[in-house]
Amino acid sequence: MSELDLGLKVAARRLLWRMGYTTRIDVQLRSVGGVATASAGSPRRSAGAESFTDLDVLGLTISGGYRVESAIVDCKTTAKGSTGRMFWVRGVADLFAADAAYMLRETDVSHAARQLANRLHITALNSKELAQAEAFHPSDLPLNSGPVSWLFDRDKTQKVLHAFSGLDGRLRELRDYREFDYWVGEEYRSLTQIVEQLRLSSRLLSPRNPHHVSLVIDFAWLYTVSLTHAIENIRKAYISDLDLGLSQYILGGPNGFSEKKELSKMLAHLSQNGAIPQDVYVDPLPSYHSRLLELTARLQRRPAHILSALRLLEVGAFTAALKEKISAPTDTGALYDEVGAKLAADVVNFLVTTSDLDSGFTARARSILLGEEFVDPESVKSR
Amino acid sequence: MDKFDEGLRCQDVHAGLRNVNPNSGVLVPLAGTQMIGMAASVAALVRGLDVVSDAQALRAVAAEQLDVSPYAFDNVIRSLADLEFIQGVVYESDRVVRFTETVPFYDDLYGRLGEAWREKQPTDLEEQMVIAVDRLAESPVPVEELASRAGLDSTDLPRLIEIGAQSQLIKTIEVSGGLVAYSPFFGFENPALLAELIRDHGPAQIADAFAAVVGEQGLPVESANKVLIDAVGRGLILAPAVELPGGTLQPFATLPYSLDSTLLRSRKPVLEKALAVVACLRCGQHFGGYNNLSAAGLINVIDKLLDPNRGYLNPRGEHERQYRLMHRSGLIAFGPDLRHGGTWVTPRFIDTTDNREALGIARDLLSQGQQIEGRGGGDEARKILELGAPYTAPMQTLNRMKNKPNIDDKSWQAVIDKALGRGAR
Repeated sequence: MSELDLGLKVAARRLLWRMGYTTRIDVQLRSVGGVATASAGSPRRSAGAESFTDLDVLGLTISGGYRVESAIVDCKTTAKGSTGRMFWVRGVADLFAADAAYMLRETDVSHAARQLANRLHITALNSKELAQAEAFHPSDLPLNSGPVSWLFDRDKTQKVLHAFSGLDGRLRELRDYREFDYWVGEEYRSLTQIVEQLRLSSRLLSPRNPHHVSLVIDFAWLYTVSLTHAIENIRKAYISDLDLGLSQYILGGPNGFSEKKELSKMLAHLSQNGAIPQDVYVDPLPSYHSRLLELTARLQRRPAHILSALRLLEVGAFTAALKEKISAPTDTGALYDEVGAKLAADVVNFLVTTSDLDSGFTARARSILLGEEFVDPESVKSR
Repeated sequence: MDKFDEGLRCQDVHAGLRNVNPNSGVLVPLAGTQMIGMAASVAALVRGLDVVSDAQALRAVAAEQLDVSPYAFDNVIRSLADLEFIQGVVYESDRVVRFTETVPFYDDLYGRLGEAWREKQPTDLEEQMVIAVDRLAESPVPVEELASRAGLDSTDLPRLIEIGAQSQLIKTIEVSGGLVAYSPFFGFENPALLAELIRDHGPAQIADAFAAVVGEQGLPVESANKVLIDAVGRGLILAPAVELPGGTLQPFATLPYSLDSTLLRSRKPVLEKALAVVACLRCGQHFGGYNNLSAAGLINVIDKLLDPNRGYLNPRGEHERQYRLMHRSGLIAFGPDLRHGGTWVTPRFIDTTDNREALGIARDLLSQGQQIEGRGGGDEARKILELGAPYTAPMQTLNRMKNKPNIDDKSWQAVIDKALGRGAR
């Protein structure tokens, strides 16, 4: 990551916030590792993960029908190569299926690049034009006072990015999933993979470590995005039968649902005959399916609050990573939405309970999101 | 009794006790059960609110609408918090002022309440009362048989009946052979007639006949069923009649069980409309000829009428006769045939609050009948057996050929998680 570009990135983030997005800086896209390859004369062997590219700033918003719309921003301090870069941005936008793409340059955008902007559906801006674009999107959010303004502070952003990259090496798999694999994997699998990834690291995560609290809240952000994708998918065919819709979705659609059910029946049969230990769980749906169903139902009933939930999680994760505190939820001004905050807390609680994380994470998150007094569950137990 | 029934009957107990002076000593032995019943009512009230930011307003609403005593409110909230249905309870000077809720939409609400009731270690009297209320929800039972039929201790029965009577949970009626107990939640037209009926037919026949009606609300009254004919003839139970194709009138017996006492008294017209719907649809189910409605079709008709974007049924030749009772009840209007030149009527729903409620009640009565029969489970079990058979033999052969590998549970779970797509990566 070029630190020179960070000033532009946080400025782009602020524009996206004004435009109604929840954001993320430096999203890495890379290939899936472990895929076997072969070349002439050499045996087949596994390849490591390779980087495709990265998105400097990603913006997500929820439109009608629970559709997650995305915008990507490419930020560079120099105008050099901006013409060719337009084609690169278009390719990345297509790879990511982004609905909008921006190319941001500090000084200027080349004349040729501006001619390409309309043809390639990319918005090209220099730093001065960025300020004008911001002025065209007035906002009642407290963008100039903490904690919301911290998101647009270059030094604080640097600190937060370092907090995540400097996590305990034993959390590498969890960190890699959050940083890379989540963004390139099939969307439907995220609902189960996030839970499993957190479960694998549950013993290493402590609610007393603010960076871990930030990580868990950030995973809740990812999970809320995945749930919104799920709801968009489910409501197309099963708006009145959420249970069936969710079951099909998490098993990869009608074919996957049918295949997994058949496989599960075979495994159950083997289990009954003693070929598989009786205690092994062979149901096609995860053991926490009923809780996931309840959570999905809650979000489905509150489409107008999902974006608020995501933005509050974004601010909450950022604040925790900075080891700062939000003294009262109302410090977030017009951003504060008690239903949105409660839904965000529900997602955190779901991840904590299904991934066997310390219940202190829920207490911490509720304190940040809902302003509840933090009571350490460990201290209650020891009384 | 399973946990679901226990949770459900705790709510019945609370509903019955709503008619008793809240300061009465009668309530003391049933206090724990009443608390769970109140919790069920409050849980249903707050479900879906997400954030209750003015719990004192809720306290007033719960007192007014659900008869949850303002003094019991804080304990009810504590019970719901113990069940993890609510979180983040904020107190100010010991008063609950705010909380968030996650009352389940799909999970078994009553099952978990029943579990909580068990964990609170109910007294023998509470257990017996819940069992008795559950048993009486099926049909009236002679008091002397109640102990054996419900599996109660006969020595405790007099006290149970006495407290049940005082707390309005069990009603009794004198018959020549003794007392007959029945539930006040049944919509009997004239309970005094119950005694005559039992005297003439015997308690066992009455219990069987009534249980059959509860099992299928809108049961066609057949000429061979002397007990039911007599019960309808004397006016003990409601049996709206629908005209059959041959011109004869066919009664359909109903025995509504409702915790809402106003539905049995001041708002009885709503209940009567619901029973008219049940009768008309059962007629379509049993006497529709080649057009017989399926069990799912009954619910489908109601859903079509309730659908604000539809609200009508496609015209058919038999509709004017079959739905005449609903027409006379003011539930539907008969519009002109939708087809050009057609002469049949188009039943159109008259969309009022009462009519919507009546259709909702009818839907519950019909679907509850289907659930009791439990046909779905049987079909599913058969299907599993059919699918399981073909691969049984190869697996056994393989098992004989190879030594069984010694793999521990954890490894198996990892393999299966991967196979089912649940693995981490």
